[in-house]
Amino acid sequence: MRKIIILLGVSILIVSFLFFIGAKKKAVEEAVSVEEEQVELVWWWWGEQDEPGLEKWVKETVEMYEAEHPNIKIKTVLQPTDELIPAFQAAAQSRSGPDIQFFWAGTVTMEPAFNGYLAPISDYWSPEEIKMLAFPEEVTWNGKVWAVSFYTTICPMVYNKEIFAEAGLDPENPPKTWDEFLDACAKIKKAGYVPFAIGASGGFGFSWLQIFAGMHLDSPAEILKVWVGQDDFTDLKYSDWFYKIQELVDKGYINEDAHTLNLWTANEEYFGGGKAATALLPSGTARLINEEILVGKVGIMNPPIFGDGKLAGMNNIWRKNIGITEWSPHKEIAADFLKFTISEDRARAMYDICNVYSGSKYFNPAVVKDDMGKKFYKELNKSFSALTDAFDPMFITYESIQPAGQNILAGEWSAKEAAEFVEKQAQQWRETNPEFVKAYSEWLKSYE
Amino acid sequence: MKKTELNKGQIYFFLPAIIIISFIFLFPIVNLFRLSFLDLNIEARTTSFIGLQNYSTILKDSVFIKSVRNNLILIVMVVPILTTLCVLFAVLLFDCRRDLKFFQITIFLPYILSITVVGILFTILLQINGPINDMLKLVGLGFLASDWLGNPRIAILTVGAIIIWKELGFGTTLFLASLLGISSELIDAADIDGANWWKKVVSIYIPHLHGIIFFYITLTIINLFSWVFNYIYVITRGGPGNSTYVFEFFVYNRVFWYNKITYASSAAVLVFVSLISVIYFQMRSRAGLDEERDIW
Repeated sequence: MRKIIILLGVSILIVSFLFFIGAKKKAVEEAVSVEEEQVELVWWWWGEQDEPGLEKWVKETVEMYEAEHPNIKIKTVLQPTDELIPAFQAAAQSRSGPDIQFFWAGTVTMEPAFNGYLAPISDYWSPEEIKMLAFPEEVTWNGKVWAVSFYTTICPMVYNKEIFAEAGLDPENPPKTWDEFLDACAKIKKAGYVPFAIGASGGFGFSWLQIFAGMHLDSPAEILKVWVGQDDFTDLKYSDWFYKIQELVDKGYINEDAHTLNLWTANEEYFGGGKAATALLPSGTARLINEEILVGKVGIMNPPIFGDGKLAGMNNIWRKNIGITEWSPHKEIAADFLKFTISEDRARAMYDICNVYSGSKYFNPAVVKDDMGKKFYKELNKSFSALTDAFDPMFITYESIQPAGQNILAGEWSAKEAAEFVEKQAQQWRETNPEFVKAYSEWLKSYE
Repeated sequence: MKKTELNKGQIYFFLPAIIIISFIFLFPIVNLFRLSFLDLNIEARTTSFIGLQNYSTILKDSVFIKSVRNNLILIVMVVPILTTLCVLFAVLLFDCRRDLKFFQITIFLPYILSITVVGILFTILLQINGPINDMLKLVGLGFLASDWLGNPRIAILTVGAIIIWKELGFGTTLFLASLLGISSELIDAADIDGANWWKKVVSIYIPHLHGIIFFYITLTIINLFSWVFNYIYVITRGGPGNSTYVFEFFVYNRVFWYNKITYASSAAVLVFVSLISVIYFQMRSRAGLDEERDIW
């Protein structure tokens, strides 16, 4: 027993000593930082999965800003796709982590704002500066702007001109309506190719198919109304696209392993490999395939229309955002850095380095010289982030639409069953997230 | 053995240890129970007591029910197959001890591989146009080729098969180590009495392994509820269409994607209590069996 007491005493002494050393070290560090006014901003971002070359731009931008502000250091931390949201949520729960955070468009940006994880940009930028953001309503809630459009990705429907020609279709006039598309698919299939390629094993692929979701809608506010309980998803106005996807599956117009492959592999294997006639590709990847793999054979088209909503025929557009975290001790510096990222010079450099379109109005379209680049710009300048998963609550995207879609692609569920599942999940989401329903209801007002 | 009784004075000396151990092991569990009765307002950073509301909602949550069902499917499938195979391999290895090392190492190899590696490996092998289906077609068994991980009806069974492949080595080694403790005289005596292989398995090996088989089954049941996350995360992400969602993945998603910490806590409590009950009844039934055996 005596030995135990001695051991316990020694342990307490060691722990106290370590604690004391730690506390002292921390105190010294804080003193140094104040004295030298050195500031380190931590920026968590996503990388260049959909926009090859972006990493070079980020590196150059950070170096330029640091050169202009020698006391400021910006540490960039790359987050993989699967960790982007969970890592930020974990950081937010402990109110520590990045000063600047990258977000995908729409709800992925807004839910952290609803949760109080973001500091409003409009508290640090003047109204004139805010006006330079493209479509600030996307990130406006409770009268404040919560993030900055970092860059814009267009994810259009693309087609292989050579396959079109081989199937007896006009390679310069892709189908415009759904019926024309079905006719084209039949001919493409007969010619031995996959009419439309997609990969939805990770779920994301099916979200991209929401390129067909806006056919009967005039504004994102309409889909937001479904989620807050003012309308029902099973109404064909909102779920018709499920039936159209099922039609493609039933007729064998989609690759049979769509639910097994992930999006990137499917695009690479089928469209990049010259086996599929149409697909959905981010602009950077489409350009890369057109320049290096299917040289000159990639055409850009709009999703074939089957409705008369204002959003019908619009390609997928996402504005990737960056925001300042609520817990950052250097919000003003972070806000200044964000201004720098969308400045005219940086907007131009973004296009020069990696053909990516800045999310600000400082971007000068005159720098776009090639045909493909002009087509992309025309599409992305049409409107806000088109109806992708950008306007679905994250829970609806990942727990309802994606699994429902995977079941449609696997031939397990009918479109009707899938739509009913989504509506049921939406009801559950409303029940368990009353504060979100309130926030979403406020947010949709910025579109009305 | 005589039990030592502690007097009051002695108990005080144990108090620090009791406090530390309670803090380390019991506090997180008690906190889990506490959280399950609360609602968290993230923006205001406050919690409020809502009684059993989380529980009533979760019992209506189709994804939670599906998750638990998938865990149960894994248990019903994996536990009997894995235990039988482990015992079988251990007995076979025990009987041909001369070649023991080669086979032992070969069977143990998958266990050394990390789950991430196994996941990636099988994701490639089991693709619809992957090597396993190609091989089946090559040997004239094309009718067996399937979309192993893409078909929602069989995806969870495929995951179960991967778990069996990976975990076989551990169980086999565990049982083999126990079998090596059987005295050679006993086996020699059985041989002299003319016992055949099956008779020895039933009358010597299985009774000898009885305790460890029970331990292994309990461990595997616990593992299939609380250690399958990595497989699901790497191989299927719960898909296609929620068909491979398991309890851990449910909790992970609710906490790290949707901030539903208290809701996920109630799910965790439900599964924790169920699991404890299963283990308790299993132990009770084992105690009963042991008593019965002692009487005989």
